[in-house]
Amino acid sequence: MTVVVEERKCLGCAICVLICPQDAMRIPPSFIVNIDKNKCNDCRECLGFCPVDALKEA
Amino acid sequence: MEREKCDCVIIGSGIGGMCAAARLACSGYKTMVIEKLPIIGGRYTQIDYKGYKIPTGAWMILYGKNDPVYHTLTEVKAPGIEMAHTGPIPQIYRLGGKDYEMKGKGALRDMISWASRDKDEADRVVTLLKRAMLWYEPPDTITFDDWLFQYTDNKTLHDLYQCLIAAWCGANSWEITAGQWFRVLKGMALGGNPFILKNGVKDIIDALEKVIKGNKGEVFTKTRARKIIVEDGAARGIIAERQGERLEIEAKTVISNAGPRKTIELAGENNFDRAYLKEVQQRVRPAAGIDYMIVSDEPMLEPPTVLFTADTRRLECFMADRSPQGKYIVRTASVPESTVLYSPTKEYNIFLQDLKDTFPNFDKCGGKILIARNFYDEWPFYRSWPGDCIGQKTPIESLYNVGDAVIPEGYIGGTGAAESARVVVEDIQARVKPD
Repeated sequence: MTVVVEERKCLGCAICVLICPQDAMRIPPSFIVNIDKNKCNDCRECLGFCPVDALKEA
Repeated sequence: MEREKCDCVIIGSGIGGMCAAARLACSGYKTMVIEKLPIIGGRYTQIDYKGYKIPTGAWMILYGKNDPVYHTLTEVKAPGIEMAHTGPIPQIYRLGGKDYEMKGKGALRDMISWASRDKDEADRVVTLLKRAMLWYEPPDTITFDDWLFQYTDNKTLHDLYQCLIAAWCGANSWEITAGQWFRVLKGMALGGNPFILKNGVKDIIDALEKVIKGNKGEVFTKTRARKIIVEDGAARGIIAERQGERLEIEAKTVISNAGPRKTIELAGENNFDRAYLKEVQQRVRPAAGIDYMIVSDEPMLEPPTVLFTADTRRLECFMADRSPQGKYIVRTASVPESTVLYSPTKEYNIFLQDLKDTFPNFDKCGGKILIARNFYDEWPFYRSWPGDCIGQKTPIESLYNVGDAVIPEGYIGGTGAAESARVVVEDIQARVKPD
């Protein structure tokens, strides 16, 4: 299992960036969050924090 | 399925929901707050990130000690909060190639004189604005910018108003109607000096939570509303989901802090009359923009100053603060040319140029952008343009909205959300007795 971004929904609010314990999330100039797969350890902490439900398990 | 029963259930733990809950719990109503996220506060708290406290939204107590948030804390006897500074926050306006500090009584008048080409123009504009405030409120059929163009084409004056409007309303002077702006301005006149908190706005949310829990109320996180139960045109409670379990909460009153659009979705569109749906569609329109947290080793701007820049490509509002570990932080809101439709990528590149122009000492101070964020749509600066909000009551009996889409006239943002809660609680107290 791994976390993916539903790009259509992501606003770039960066809540996930702030709470990620692995510092694996970044907001690039596209303002759609980018997950660094090398840093992400699938803790899934971010899933519940997304205010617009743009993060999903895949 | 689990079942609970209470007097009032509140969907969402933003400042509106928490103020309503604290006021209700304090006056004897059995109160429950449900929040879908793992933390409470919504856009009125902060998250620790790399040693900095990053606000999720609100940052300043806009109306100071005259703020409905501050009044709520006093009235519910919440634990005290600590201000980050004594004395007012200096407000500097950078326009027409010069800096002007807005200070003391009659500051706006002085500033208009400063921005005018001559005394005649200053007198004319001051008289017109006074009339618009005290005699005839301009209509909502003209934007503020167009309204002002009837009387002056002085760019510095237009820029001054763009500073005020974009910074306070999160929308441009060519978007906000003249009526909207004067309604906001009348309210601002009642406010005290804005202040920021030593430990951030989370102190306020924590204080309210303590009051709720100390008065037999409950706050459930990770609990998502799935449905507002409506019977015979009246709200009877909600169905929620908590850790995969269904939870039914029967309540005499339901308060939604999730935004009017979400409220409609939860209660079912068929339960609302068409006029209401149309009103929500037209008027609940978010104030949007991009927000930057900039950190530096040396101060680029002396805390707690606020700097408005009108000479840059976009209107920017820079707010300076100290970070806990002795560094400096500047929060910036950059308002796109159109807050309705914009490209965040394009705005970002424009901002980088503006930043360089505003702070030539950026590199020397060890400045870097810690985080850039977009406030938009369901996570906006404000859920509705200030001065253009709808009422708190819905056509469904015992179902209210609170928050920054249903702000009473003259208030803004969190300040207005707290005031919407006060109005709603007053109505509930007149209508239903606690069990």
